[in-house]
Amino acid sequence: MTEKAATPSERAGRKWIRAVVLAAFVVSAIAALTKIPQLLRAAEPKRISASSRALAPATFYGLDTRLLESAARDIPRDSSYAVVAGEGVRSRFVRVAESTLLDYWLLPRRRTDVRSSDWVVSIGGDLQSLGLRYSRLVRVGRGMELAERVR
Amino acid sequence: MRIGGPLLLDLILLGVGQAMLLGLGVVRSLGQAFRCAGLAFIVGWCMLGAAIVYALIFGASLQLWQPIALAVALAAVASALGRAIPGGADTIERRERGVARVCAIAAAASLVGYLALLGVHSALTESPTGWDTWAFWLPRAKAIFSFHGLHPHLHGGFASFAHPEYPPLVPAFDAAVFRFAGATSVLALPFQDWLLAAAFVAAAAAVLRHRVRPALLWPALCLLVLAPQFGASVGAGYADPQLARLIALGAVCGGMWVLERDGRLLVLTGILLVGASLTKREGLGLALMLSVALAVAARVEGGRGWARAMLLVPTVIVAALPWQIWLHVEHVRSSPDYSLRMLLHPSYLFDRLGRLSIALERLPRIALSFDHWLLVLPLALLLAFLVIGTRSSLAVLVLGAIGAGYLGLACVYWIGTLPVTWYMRTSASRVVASLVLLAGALTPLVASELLRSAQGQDRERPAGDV
Repeated sequence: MTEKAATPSERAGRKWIRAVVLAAFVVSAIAALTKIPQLLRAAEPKRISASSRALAPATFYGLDTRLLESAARDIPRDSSYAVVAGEGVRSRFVRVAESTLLDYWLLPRRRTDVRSSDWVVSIGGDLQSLGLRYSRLVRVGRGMELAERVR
Repeated sequence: MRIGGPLLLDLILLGVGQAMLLGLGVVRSLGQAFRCAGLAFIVGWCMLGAAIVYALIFGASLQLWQPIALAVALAAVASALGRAIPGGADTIERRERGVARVCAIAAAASLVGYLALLGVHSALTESPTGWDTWAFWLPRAKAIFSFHGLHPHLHGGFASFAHPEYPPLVPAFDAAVFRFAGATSVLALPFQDWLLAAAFVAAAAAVLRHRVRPALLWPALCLLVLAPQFGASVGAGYADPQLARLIALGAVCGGMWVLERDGRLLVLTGILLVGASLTKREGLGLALMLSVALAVAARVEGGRGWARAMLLVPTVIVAALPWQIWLHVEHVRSSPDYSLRMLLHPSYLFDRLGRLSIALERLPRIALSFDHWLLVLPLALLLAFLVIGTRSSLAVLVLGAIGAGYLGLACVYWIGTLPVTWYMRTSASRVVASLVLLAGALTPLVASELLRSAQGQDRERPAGDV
């Protein structure tokens, strides 16, 4: 296991390496200690209701959660839906984010094209311009609405 | 939220992993099984996850009995290996005394305390809020669960979301969690991810303890876990953190194999890299890069059997092949952010040299960011340079893997189709995690070998595989 006796310069080199390794670990440990308050804050457990946690993807991006909640409540799980978007909601980011989040939120409802869907979700779009007949209209607010089609 | 079902799935993963470790002779007593629980959990996740992926590819509907049947079959085959592979001695580094003992205990206690806090946070507070998480990772899992399988041509099904070409291990596992929960219990997923993060730390400790003394092992792992990005990634719902853990743990097992040539470590490396190649698109590239780095490092270390590491290359390629064939056969329209074929078009590459220089400059800046990773990478690089003169194989492994990974990621941004600044802003901090975690996980081993040589206690060179 042990090598032949080391020369003085080898011993000095080994001492130097041990010192560098020790110093590197000490510096890294001190650096880590400076972040402890931030880490504890970030990992602080808070009891948040299941519905708030579930809606966090929307609230995190400042989106209106009413569209998600209303669509999940009103559109039956075995129905299909389509999404139309338009300038009624000015922010392009909001239109894209709401539309993308709906895909996730409304599963197992299947998203299809407007012509073959049971429901149409409008994110600032113009439902009347689609030329479809609706049996039910749900106004969610801020230019967002749901419409059940007459089939 | 229903947690009983997912916890049953966790026990099944643990059982599959323990059967594999038993089969390999890594575990031969209850005490060893306890110490290797983290390793068993991750190995079980890779094995059962891969089996579920292949079952889905062949049209399985992921009914509850299917993962259970697969787990039973895997456990039976794995434990049968025990008759063919002899068990090894369970050596551990010496116990500490004095200041070293205090350091080891303080670091281990800090690590366990912080991980426990993260666990409670992920169970009670964490939500998967990342854009990609709900744009495609979670919807794909929900689609597998809701529509009973992959069904690539179903409107609103698995292939309807962005990046259908990404390998499906993470969505398949999440769908299995839903199946065991009996509903799409998305809020159960952060805790599942925490279990994988905690298992990664426990697994690294279990593997390294054979060669690294506690006074080095626990402080080094503690520094890695206290890096803000480690905790921030737990439960976020991305596949990148799990990919990083698999690559880093693969590097730890592989690094130990380079020094000890225990073939069982190479088998474990292979299982982890197969899991990585099925977790994310970059996983295959990183797994191949690590396999080559291990072979070169083993060649530098000397001894027989170094070329066996090259067997990892066909292993991960073959493991990734069924998914690629499925994409081709089912004509799944993919929307990749990059195509590797573009690396063969000099004019395309020349026109985009600006992208390459941006990537080459920003990737290290993010990996070296104190706010993200503290001093994990600088410490690893310093030790890797110091060890060149004594254990150059480890230097080759650390510097080679990080260097190759860095260039590979820079190439992805070079040939990518998205605007490079936006592309990097939204993804770079996640993708460099694989390299930083790899470096951080190997730090205890490198430091240990460095100090061992500084004390004139070089172990003998490896003779060959067990």
